[in-house]
Amino acid sequence: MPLRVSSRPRFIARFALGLWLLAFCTARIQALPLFARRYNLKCSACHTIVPVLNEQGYLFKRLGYHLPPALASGQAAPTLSYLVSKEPQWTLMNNVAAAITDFGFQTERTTQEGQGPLSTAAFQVNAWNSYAAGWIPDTKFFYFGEFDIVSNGSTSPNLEQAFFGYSGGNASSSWYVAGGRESLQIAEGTRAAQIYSLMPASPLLFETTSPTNFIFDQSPVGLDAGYTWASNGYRHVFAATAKVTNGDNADGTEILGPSAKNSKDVWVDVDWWYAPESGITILDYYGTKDQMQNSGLSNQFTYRPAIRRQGVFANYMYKYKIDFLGGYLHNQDDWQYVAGTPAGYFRANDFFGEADYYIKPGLAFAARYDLLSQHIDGGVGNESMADWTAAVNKNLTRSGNIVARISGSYLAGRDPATALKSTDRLFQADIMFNF
Amino acid sequence: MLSRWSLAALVGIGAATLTSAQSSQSGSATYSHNAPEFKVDTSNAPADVQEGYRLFRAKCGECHSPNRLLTKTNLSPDEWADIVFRMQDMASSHTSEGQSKAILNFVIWNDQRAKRKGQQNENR
Repeated sequence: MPLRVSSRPRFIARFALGLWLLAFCTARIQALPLFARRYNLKCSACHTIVPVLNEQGYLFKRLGYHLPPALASGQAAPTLSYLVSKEPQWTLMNNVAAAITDFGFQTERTTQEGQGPLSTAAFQVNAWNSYAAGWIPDTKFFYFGEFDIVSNGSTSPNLEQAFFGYSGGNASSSWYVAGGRESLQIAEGTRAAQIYSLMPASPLLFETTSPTNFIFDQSPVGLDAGYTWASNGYRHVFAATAKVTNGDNADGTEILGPSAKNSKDVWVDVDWWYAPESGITILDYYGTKDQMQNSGLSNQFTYRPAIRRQGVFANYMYKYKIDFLGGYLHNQDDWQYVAGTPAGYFRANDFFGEADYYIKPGLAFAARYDLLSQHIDGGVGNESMADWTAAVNKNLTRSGNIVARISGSYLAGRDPATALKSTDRLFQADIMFNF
Repeated sequence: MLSRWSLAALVGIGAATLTSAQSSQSGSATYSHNAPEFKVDTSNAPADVQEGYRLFRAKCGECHSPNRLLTKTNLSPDEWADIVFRMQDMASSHTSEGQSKAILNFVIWNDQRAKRKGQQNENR
């Protein structure tokens, strides 16, 4: 039998809830994002310009979300237990970010062989994400959760990341283990290997879905472990990380629950920060996934290709003014057009080069050229795709938590399976709010 | 009898109150990073102090609110040296030893200037 509820107390309670939410949200609007709030630091402590991580931001994550302390010669490196004991008091305010959002206007013109051009223009909320992250008070356990409410302009609530971990050692020689759903590449590696950049989109090698329905920008479920060594004054930092994940379903979505694919995928990454804000990353991915070919046709079949990715990435920050970045990723996936025929490969090579010019703190001009060449054995031959992107980013606040960006890009190339040519000209002006 | 919504509201209000109480207990003064920055008149100061001020704003101001540091004027020169050289060994410092010395020179000068100013105000 349903509870009979008097309407008056219910109204009062809801009114109180509304007032509380209003007060709470208003307070948030004046506040900084969670980690900056925790230490009373500007966003630029961990980012060149949000969301691009600097070396300190990279180390912060690897220490289990504790601020890297000073490493002076002749002094013992502080232990993780010591860092935990020195953390400010745990509060909701410095462990939750309610609105990491992006609002913008974009115009786009696309063409494809055999079809008429299509032009679109729209204001849109590109993203609205909420985060909860930090440490469990008085322990070396940490947690991270990302709840995406709006992605790419459409409302599609999704718990994109949710993991727990434990860190140990000291600030000079530390390790961590973590488990849960975690981004494969975001915030991993030195700066050229990290998916976030000053552009609205990542290099093609991270964002292009291969004919085997595999994309690097994903959040699989699994376990990962990392080790980090840092010299005095962080003049050199070496780090290695390995992840074992469930991998993906046939359609490329991450396997989040029980699956007949019992084998696990492996991702390994080795980083070396060889000079201030300059680093090299080598990464390797090996896995398998189911792949459905000729979907809906009489010769439809499913096979299980091996997915292989090897990459090398590097950046050099010149006088804290110009950041030169480059990357190379090689793909080689098993490929079959027809069941029972000899297996071949889908191969791809992607190169990108980028220069980010920090005109002054909080203002940067960035330009990138990206070339992706792809080949399927027994297919239409070598096909390539090239992308030019330029962007200007400007912090609108001294803390760096509101960033405006104007960008333009031109992508042109042919599909590796059909050889159809397509182009995409995109202009975007957007503002990122980080509260 | 209250509905689940009403109970959730009461729990929420309770949690918010506790959070606010916790925040106020922590007590330390905070400076908005988005507030206009205090300006220090170094026009009559020696050239090395002027250079120290420029570096202070560029290097220290990268992560910290300069307002917070400029009003922290109750430290001894040794304590300032401790802080400045510790900061030099942080991952985000991007500061050479020479630059750290110039910054130290400025913060000690600023400290003494503030103390003199305070004394003058007391004598009036």
